[in-house]
Amino acid sequence: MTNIILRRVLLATCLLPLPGCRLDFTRSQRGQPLKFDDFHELQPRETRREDAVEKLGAPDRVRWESGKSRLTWEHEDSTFIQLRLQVPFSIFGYRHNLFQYFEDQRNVNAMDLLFDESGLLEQKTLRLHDAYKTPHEPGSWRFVLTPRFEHSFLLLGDADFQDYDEIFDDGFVAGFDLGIQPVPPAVVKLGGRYQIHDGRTISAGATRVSFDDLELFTAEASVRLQLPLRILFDTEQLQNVWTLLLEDDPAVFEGWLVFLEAGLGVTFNGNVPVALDGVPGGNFFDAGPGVSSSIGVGIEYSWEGISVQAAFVYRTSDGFDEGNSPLPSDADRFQSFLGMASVSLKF
Amino acid sequence: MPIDIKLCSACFTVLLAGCAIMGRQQRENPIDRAKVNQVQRGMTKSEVTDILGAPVEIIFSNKEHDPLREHAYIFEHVTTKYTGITFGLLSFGNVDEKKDRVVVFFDERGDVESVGKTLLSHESSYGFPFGK
Repeated sequence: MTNIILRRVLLATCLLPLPGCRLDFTRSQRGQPLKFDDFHELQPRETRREDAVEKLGAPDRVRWESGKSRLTWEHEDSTFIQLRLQVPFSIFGYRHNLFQYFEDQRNVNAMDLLFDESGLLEQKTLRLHDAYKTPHEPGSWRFVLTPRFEHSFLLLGDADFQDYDEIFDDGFVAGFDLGIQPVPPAVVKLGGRYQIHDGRTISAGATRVSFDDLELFTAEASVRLQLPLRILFDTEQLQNVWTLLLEDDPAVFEGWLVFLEAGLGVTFNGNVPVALDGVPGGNFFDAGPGVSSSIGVGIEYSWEGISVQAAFVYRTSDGFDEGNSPLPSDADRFQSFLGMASVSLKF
Repeated sequence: MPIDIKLCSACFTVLLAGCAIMGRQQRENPIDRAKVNQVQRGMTKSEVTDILGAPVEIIFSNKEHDPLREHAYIFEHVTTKYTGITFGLLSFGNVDEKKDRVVVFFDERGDVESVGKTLLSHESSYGFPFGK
């Protein structure tokens, strides 16, 4: 009964914020991409205004400055990313924000041409958004907070009486990681996990054996290595893997990434009571600690302050302690394969 | 076991609840490509306005001896397409604004000196906020 109440409280805690949780991605493009090739062909003191507008099209701005005309072509490409945690119900349409974080990046590329009174090109200028990036400060560390959800789709291991997948259903893992990113290719993390698998009822001869749920509580330290996905498709960049591992500019690690992570920790399992033909038959497994480990591989899409990940994870922990039930329960390692999805906030 | 069905139902309800919003906004009058091609060097201002209509904006010279000389006429038509797609907790938005813009420059005598044209409003599109 206590387990059921605890499970319902956990589920309610997980589900309650969901209706108020929103992740918004908005991109806005205004104007046409600039014709840089044509721009580079323009020659000061040679190109006339009519030739310039013939090649570049209509300018977005025309200004007169002391008898000289300045023509400007602009292209804006803006990205807006926002995470909101709100109260899950609205009061007359109003929803209170519990937490809101956004990144608004407006990138403007511009070509600027100044013509003298006779219409001859006097000066040409490019304004590219890369030139306005905040200079990167080498050595700055970042923190990474990652709530994560995993679904188990395969259980392996011998629980003595039966294999694990015979006595437990597929389950899920919910947890979080708090990491430090000393350099962009590596993250060192500490995290906590809660894993649950529903117990099954099976027949053993003429006896119906009902297992209670298996619950695992894990504290884990892990290391993650990541590289831009583009290197896998570019043989020239494959030669630069080592250079990338030493890279200290976070901007290089934006976009698609591939990652590998491995962790080591301690897992506490709860008691697993068993019932024989509906009569309590003691514990199949006793509660106790064990060493656990995990390894995962996946892909990520990363922006400057936020990223989303998907991965396959393999988790294993020591065989659980034998209980006092009449069933044999000298178990081997408990192993599970899981699909993982998560969102990381970097600050 | 029933709790799993409830959990799955709740997850599907939350994750699959979604909607799509699409919208198109057009500003100023459409510009006819064939008419723009009729504007030739040497034409007068009245000939230009007979073909394209009244300009959206007039750029004046700021020369001391001739501050009110009309230097350029600007004709513009803007198409903006908005896309909003929500999948449960995730929402994606995209705004694509493209212009038809014609700038007609006049010389000292008030005749057409050159015509700059960008006619791309038809390329405005709906879509996700990924890619180029």
